[in-house]
Amino acid sequence: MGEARDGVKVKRVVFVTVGTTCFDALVKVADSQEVKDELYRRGYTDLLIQMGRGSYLPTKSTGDDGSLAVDYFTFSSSIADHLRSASLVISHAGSGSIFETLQLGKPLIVVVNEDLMDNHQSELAEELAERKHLYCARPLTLHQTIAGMDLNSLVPYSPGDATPVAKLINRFLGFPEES
Amino acid sequence: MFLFFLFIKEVSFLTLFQSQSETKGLSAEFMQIYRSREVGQSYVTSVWTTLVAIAHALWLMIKIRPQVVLCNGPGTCIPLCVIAFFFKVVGIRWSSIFYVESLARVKRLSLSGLLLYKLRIADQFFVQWPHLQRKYPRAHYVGCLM
Repeated sequence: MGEARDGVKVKRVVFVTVGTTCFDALVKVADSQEVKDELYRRGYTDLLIQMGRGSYLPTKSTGDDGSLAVDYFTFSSSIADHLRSASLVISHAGSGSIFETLQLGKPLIVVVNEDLMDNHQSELAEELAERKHLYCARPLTLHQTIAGMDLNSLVPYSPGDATPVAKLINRFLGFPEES
Repeated sequence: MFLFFLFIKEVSFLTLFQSQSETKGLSAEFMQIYRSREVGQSYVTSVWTTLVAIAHALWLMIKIRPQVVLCNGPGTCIPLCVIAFFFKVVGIRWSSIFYVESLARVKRLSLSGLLLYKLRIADQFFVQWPHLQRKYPRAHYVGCLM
């Protein structure tokens, strides 16, 4: 990823993901000058967009001219590495993406897709935002969320535990309780 | 020796489960089953695909004869649960049916969940958010599993 040299700027990557969906509204707004300027102002250096099945293509940029470096791709077999190397994640409201990001302890802005019918996904994003585990935004309010966010105020998410289910199932099936 | 039937929607979880069961010394077999309806599929053509799914499910249930059916939400599990329930009711085979509602369901149940809850097909019904347990009192609240 480049040799260590004096004066090299530390990379702070913003990773945008839409999962396996088509969410052009998010890709477009992430690629908008407003949002890119806001991200650059907040100290981020790179913007990497995973655009999924969308048709809108962002504009690549090397960022040499003192702006955000922008790159994009459609899919990868696992976004775990991209999540791990990100300083900020902006994701669609898929539960997989949300929990993968939270479990890695990364700051997260969830953007709800308003074009989806029967949008139950927004319930999860709103509930977790209420519990201060992430920020929730709509495509049109994304730049305001970025401008106003205080990542230190986010509460870390403690991973869940499946043992209660196992215990209840074991009891129902008549297995002896483990101490 | 118990036979389990577990539904996993995401392929990534499938490989994770595969490697975890190998490390625990469990023998696990993985198979794909037909969906009753794809997202956005017309309801008219869904009648035929649902019938195909039910026939496939019936064949699987007769072949595997599980003691436990454990599912987590996709509509794919409905034909299997219905058949397991039917076998139970007519006395062919007793399978315990457990349903864990999706983590993404905070305030409302999925259609699969509603069916299995209202028709009392599931022996135990688990929800991951407290609001759902208040709304559906026969459900067990188990907190977030992830």
